[in-house]
Parts: sequence; structure tokens; C-alpha cells
Amino acid sequence: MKNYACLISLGLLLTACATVDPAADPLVVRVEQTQIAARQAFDMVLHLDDANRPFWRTNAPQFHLFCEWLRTPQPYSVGLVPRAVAIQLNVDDLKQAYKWSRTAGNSNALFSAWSVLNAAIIQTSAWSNIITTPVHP
Amino acid sequence: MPAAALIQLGIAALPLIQVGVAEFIAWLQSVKAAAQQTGEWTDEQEAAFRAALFAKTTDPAYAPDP
Repeated sequence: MKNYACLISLGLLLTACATVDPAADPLVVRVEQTQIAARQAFDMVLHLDDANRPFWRTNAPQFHLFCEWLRTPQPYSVGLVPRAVAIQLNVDDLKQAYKWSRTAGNSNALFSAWSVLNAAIIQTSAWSNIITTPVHP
Repeated sequence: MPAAALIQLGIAALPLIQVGVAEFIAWLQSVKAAAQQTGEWTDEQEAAFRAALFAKTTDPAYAPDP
């Protein structure tokens, strides 16, 4: 496990924050950066909780409740989808609208939706420390 | 939190992880990918992202408790 962790650490440390291409819209790039991280963050906590729901329900009820909040079905154009997906689709739809017409109204709507997604990902990241919890008695 | 700080925190937590190692690494890699993004997505990337999102609607991990 230690060797594995060292290799991963090396790969991740070779990271530098890139500057945004001058031709790209910073708002769109920022939103897309959040979208990338959000998808994996939601995926991580939901799969973790799903691996042993009874354990988390008993030993970390607030974590399980948060996961259930992310799973709550929400209306979308194709029908009901989990909230974790609906939040991301809403942001993506508003991003598309903004890319088609870069008006102040569209940018404000996109920023508001992005803020909701950002708040959810911050809370999700905060729960990521739960992965250090032993699940075997 | 800056991406670099988040990744360093994640690396520090790696030896302590008991469950969900693969998902945790995938998340750290996504943070790295986000930090390195310089331009807007292409149409293909956008379509792939949406397809991956819709695929999640049938993932059992995304289904609420019965």
C-alpha cells in the first residue's frame, strides 16, 4: 500500500495550476473545472456510502443523510434524476445558454447555479475525511 | 481551497484510507485535471460529460434508500 501511495503521490505532485487560455471565457473554464471535480466528488461519497449503507446509517448518520440528500430525485426534462446529477445538469444547461448568448442575465444565472454546485462540492469534500473511518469492527 | 493544497491534503490522507481508495484517487485526479484545464471544453468533451452524467441516473449508488 505504501509503494502504491508513493507512486500516486508522485504523479499528483507533478501538478501545476495552468493559466487560462486568453481566448477562453474564464467563467466557462471555472465552471467546467468545478464540474470535473464535482462529478468525481459526488461519485466518491455516494459509492462509499453505498458500499455499506447500514454501517454508515448507524455509525455516521449525518454522512448517510447527506448522501440521501444527494440521491433525492429531482425533476429534470427527461424525468426524475438524483439531486447530485440534477445540480450538475442545471449548471451545464445554464453554461450552454451563456455560451450561446453572453448576456448579463445569463452570466448571473450561471453564477448562481455554479454557487449552488460549489456549495455542494465543498460539503462533499468536507465529508471526504470519512474514508479514513474503519468499516470493520 | 487551492487545488495544490487539496491534493497535498489528499496525499497525506492516503495511508489512512480504509475504504474507497479507487474513488478517492479518481477524485484527486479530477482535481488535478481541473487545475490543469486551460480552455473551454470541445463539443466532444461536452457530450462525453453529459453522457457520463446521464449514465449515473441508473447507477445503484445514486438510488435512494428504499
